[in-house]
Amino acid sequence: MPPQNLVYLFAAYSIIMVVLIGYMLFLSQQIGDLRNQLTALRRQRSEGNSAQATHGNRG
Amino acid sequence: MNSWLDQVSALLWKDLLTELRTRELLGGMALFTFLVLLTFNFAFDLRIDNVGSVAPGILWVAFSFAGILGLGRSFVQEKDRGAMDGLLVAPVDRGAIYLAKFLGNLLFMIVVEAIALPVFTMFFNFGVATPSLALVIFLGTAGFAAVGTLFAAMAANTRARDVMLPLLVFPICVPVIIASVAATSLVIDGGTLTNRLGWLEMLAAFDLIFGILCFVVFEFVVEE
Amino acid sequence: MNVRTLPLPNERQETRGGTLTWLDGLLAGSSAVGFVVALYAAFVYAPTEAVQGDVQRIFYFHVSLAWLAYLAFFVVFLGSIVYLWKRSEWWDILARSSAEIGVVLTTLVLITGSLWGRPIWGTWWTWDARLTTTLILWAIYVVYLMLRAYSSDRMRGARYGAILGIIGFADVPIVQMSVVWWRTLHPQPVIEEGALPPQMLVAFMISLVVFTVFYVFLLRIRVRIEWLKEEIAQLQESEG
Repeated sequence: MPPQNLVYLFAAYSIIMVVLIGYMLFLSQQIGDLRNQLTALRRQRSEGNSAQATHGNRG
Repeated sequence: MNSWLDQVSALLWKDLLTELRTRELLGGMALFTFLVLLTFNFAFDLRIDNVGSVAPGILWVAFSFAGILGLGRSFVQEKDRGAMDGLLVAPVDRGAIYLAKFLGNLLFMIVVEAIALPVFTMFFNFGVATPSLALVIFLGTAGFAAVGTLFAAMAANTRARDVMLPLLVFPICVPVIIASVAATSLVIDGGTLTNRLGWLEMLAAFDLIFGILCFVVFEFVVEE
Repeated sequence: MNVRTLPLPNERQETRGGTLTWLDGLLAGSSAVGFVVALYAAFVYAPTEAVQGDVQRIFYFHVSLAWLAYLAFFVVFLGSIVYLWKRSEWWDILARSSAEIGVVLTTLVLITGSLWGRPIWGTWWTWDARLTTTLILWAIYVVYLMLRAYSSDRMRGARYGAILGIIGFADVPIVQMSVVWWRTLHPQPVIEEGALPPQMLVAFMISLVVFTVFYVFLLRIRVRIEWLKEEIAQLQESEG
């Protein structure tokens, strides 16, 4: 068994691990971004609603 | 009310008439095929001793490129001039639209191929036109056009439609290209009939399966 | 001060794009533990193959990835059919998510296969039946993802994606057949024939199960991303 063949074995398993972990990080990053966006949107909307509500009460 | 086949022939006739009047497509496709052949001549430095081994590949690359060019135009007129809405509002079966478009694309491709073959023979002094080759070309072109017509309708409604059409068509049509090139080279080499029959059966099977499949799912492309 | 971290009363309402559930935690935990076990099985438990030596250990993850990739594309096919039939968005989201994961898995199959082929066949790539089919499969689903990205209309994109999901999967057997006739070099599958020594089979089964659990976990996460996007789009639409 020539030792340089082990390089291919370890390369294969390292690449699998790196790509899968990288993909998971990419997904969690996406989830984080989307959550922030959603929170910001909801906040915007609820502020808009409460502003409208107080305005309506005065009128 | 018109029968279903009348609808198909009316739609097909409309496309043929448009082409006869505008001459936008066929001339362009034929000239493009000619230029592809010319480019291959320079790329491979074709001489009489090597042309036989690369001829099937060259022919099918030229045919499929020209086919993509034609398919790219097949729904663009409807799309750009708003005629698609009219077509969809009219009491026409969606399957009839698919079949008419398919037959039109098939016809255009076959006309271009019929022009390209003699040109190929003349340029490279290499006779390829035989009756059994005609069958191979017909079956291969039919499979390409069946899949291509469906994807042309899809690509017409997509951003970057010129990019999307070949990307959609070529991976799906890999079996058509493989079988057509293999069958063509067997015809040229005079391979045994049984070998050739296998590839022809595969082409026929592809045409049948994907013809029906594309016909069925076409209604989902144009619904709205 | 980061105002975003302050929760408003109605911010905690959880939806389909909501936080991780106990099931996600379970899937993630068992995948993590499973990967350790699978690596142990592949590197220590399974015997060294007589002819190929240690490089053959690539087999366990390589083939598991390939099976899961096929499963992922089968899920795309299934989701596409049911979407066109029922028109429920969930099926489209399932198909789209599974396609992305399938492309990642197929990319890994191609890379690991190449790394296995180099020492054994002496070449990084060869136009053998199985390799060629896998490459074409990869291309079809990369185009699928492009098609989804390029469709401006959401409903239309879902329909077009479903059509390609069906046509693409129906194409696989005939691609496979045409390429097999064209040429072949890849080792024929050894699993059905029972030629695999029992310890190797066990190691393979472990990694197959682990990858299946991991696939389900990824799919749930990926589906959640689509729901979040959906909610944001709806909020933006209603805002005008």
